[in-house]
Amino acid sequence: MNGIFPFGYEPATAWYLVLYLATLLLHMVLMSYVIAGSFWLVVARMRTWNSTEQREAKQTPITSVDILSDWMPFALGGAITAGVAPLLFVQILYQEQFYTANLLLFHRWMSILPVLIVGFYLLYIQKAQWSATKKKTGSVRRLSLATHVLVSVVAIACFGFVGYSWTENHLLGNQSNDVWSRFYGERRLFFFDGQVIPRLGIWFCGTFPTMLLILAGQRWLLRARESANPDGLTADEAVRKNNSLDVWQPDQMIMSWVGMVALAFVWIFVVWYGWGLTEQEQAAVFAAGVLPYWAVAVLGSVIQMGGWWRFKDQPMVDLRWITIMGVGLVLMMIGGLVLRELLRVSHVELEQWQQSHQKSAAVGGIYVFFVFLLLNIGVVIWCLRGVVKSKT
Amino acid sequence: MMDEMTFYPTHDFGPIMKGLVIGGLGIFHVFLAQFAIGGGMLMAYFQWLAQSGRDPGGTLRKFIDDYFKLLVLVSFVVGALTGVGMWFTSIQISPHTIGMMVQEFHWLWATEWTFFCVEVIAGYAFYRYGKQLPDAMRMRLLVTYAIASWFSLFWINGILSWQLTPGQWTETRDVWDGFFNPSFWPSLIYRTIVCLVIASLAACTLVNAIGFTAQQRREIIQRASRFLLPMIAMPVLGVWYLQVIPADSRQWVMGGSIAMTLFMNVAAGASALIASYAWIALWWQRLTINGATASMLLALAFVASAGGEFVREGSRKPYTIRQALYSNSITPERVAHLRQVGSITGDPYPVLSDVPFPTEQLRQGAQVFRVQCSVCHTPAGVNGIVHLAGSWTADQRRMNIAKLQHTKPFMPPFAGPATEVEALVQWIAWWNAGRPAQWAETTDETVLKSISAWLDSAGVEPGGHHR
Repeated sequence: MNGIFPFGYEPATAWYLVLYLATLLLHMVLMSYVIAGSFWLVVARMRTWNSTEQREAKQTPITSVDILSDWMPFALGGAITAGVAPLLFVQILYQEQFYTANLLLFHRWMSILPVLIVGFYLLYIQKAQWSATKKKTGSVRRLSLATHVLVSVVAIACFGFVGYSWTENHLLGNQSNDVWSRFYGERRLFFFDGQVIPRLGIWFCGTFPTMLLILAGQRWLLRARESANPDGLTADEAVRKNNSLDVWQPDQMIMSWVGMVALAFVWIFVVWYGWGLTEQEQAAVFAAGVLPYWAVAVLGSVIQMGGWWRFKDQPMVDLRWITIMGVGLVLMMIGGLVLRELLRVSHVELEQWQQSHQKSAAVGGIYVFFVFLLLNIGVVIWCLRGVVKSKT
Repeated sequence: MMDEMTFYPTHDFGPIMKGLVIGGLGIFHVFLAQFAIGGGMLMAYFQWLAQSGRDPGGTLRKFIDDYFKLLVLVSFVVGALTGVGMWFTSIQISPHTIGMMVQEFHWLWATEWTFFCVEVIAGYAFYRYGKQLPDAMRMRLLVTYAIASWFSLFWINGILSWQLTPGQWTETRDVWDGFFNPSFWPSLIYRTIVCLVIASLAACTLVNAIGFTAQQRREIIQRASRFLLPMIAMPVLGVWYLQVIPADSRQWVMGGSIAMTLFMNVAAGASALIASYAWIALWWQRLTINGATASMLLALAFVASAGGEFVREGSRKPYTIRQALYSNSITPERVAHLRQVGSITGDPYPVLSDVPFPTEQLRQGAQVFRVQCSVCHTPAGVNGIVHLAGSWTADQRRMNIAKLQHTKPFMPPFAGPATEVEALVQWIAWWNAGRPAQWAETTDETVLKSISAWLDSAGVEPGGHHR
């Protein structure tokens, strides 16, 4: 590719790549909430194993665990919905590669769907179970908590399997016809090469700063709502409210440190991944036109690191910094997604590949898509604003 | 010069025919999706009744909240994921078909996605906050959900109906000619009615499972059963649909193919039973309905949907996309070319077999089966080719396969040279004989010449009435 991504490609290819990556970013944000959130829930709940009833009563009624439990099913539904669009565009961009990888992995690949269904229902169960656990005491509470943790662990296993399968699918799709033939002839159902672990490491570690920033935003909103109606509080609620920031502070410290450590590990895995790149892949991601995306990814990480460091001793992140860190997160994701895509593109036969996109782009309907996209964004905003106004 | 054919690695599903796999999942997904769409309309109607003073006891509001919970827990999870499952299954069964559909309609599919997003967001917002919201806001969310979900049907219906009746698209290749094809409107209206029916029957089932009084149940059932009344239009829509589908497809569902005719009659019969019950018992006699009866009617609706979906899928034969792609993913234009160069030439994927092939000819026969036949047939399972051709003599097999499109009009023309016909014939015979370790290769030039003559006389055009 000559020039800065995506301008080095033919217009049709550039267009499809931008749409694919933009919709994939949306999916990744929600997917991160689910994956990292599920881990957070398991660890956080296990930390409450020895909590006494008295200690819990002093805590704010709503904790990070409550927020995550409550929103997890919606986040997964959103992730699946958001995932449909990149699934569509990837079939335009890399039809043969994607379909071949799907076919080679056969029923092992297909099994991600029942596994996702199980994981989805487990999120609803953990949401209901958590509410029930909070009302129990003593050994009954511990049993309920243990069940709850088990449910969350199985859900994590489900999502972990799905994430692993997608990584495998992606890497298998990048292989040559010879590799595909051999894979098929040997009746293999698993593809494992040196790139799987660092790739999964980047994805997995990257989910934490994403989830934690969304959680920080949710905590801010909660606090804003509590502060907006002081007269409506009972004495107990007022005490809890005054205590809530104190209670939240340790949570915020853990969130900040986990965010920073996760970001550091993302880059450790990036270095590991880079070590295993072929010459062709190295040429793709270290070309001059790609350096701005490295810069964007690094800048985005630095902004987030700065934000987590600043707020590690505060009870919560303020809105201005949530926004700044949000921009940093998006920059990091954009940089990461572009680099990921360039690695994939380095495996295709460029001219033939771009010709197929020109054929696809000649098909009608694009204006209808953009009209309805804008219209439906407006409808969603109209509905959500109505809900917010009606509740306040 | 013709582009090279893309070969994909194919798998079999043991004794199960691939069409059953995609059909089975498809029926399940379509049923849940139609439940979600009809459910939105039904709940919007109930909300309108409630807020216009026709629900003094708050019965309808409570029912709406419970029904929507079921909708979210079932349809938003299993319905959504089986939708993705349809894509994945289509890739497994026929990557060329789904590839062509995506190629032609990706912008409209993306448009459908925008409505799907609205549906999910409005639906979750109602599920989460509905009880706290005033009536006007509840109505806004329910109507938004109902319209968005119906539009997701609108877009996918155009794409699916195009497969059987591409209409002017065949000449113009214009996306709108393909989308607003001859069977678009009858199938859209028909499916909309099916959505109402499923939602209504689900409501009648659910109401018996919740703690309502007998009077409350009666009230809800009476109101929900109004959504069954449009079934009276189904025969007219069915006739309209039959008029616009290709003549050969119409012929098969009206007696030409016993399987298709059976499915068609099952769908029609089950629908007639539900409609009769709705009009006579529920509307005219104002009877109520208990959980068992409601469940049975819902099961009948599932059976009707299943029959209808099988007919829709099966009546496309020999195509998956009319006049553009045969079921075996070979384009009509390519048949003549493959008769020269061979259908398995350039296939990089080895032939998998649990039993070693005694001869290279048998391995080639297996490969021909994989490329041209395996999408609809198994060797010896459901729709097993060995069962179908097992009693034929070798010459009957040769001629029937060479003239495939005239042997059965819903079969595509054989897309390979005489050597491939003979290889397939030998492979069928070998299977029929129990796959022995020893088998002779046939190299008789006279046989190959006869096969070539049959291939030439059959031509490369499809058999039957194809327009």
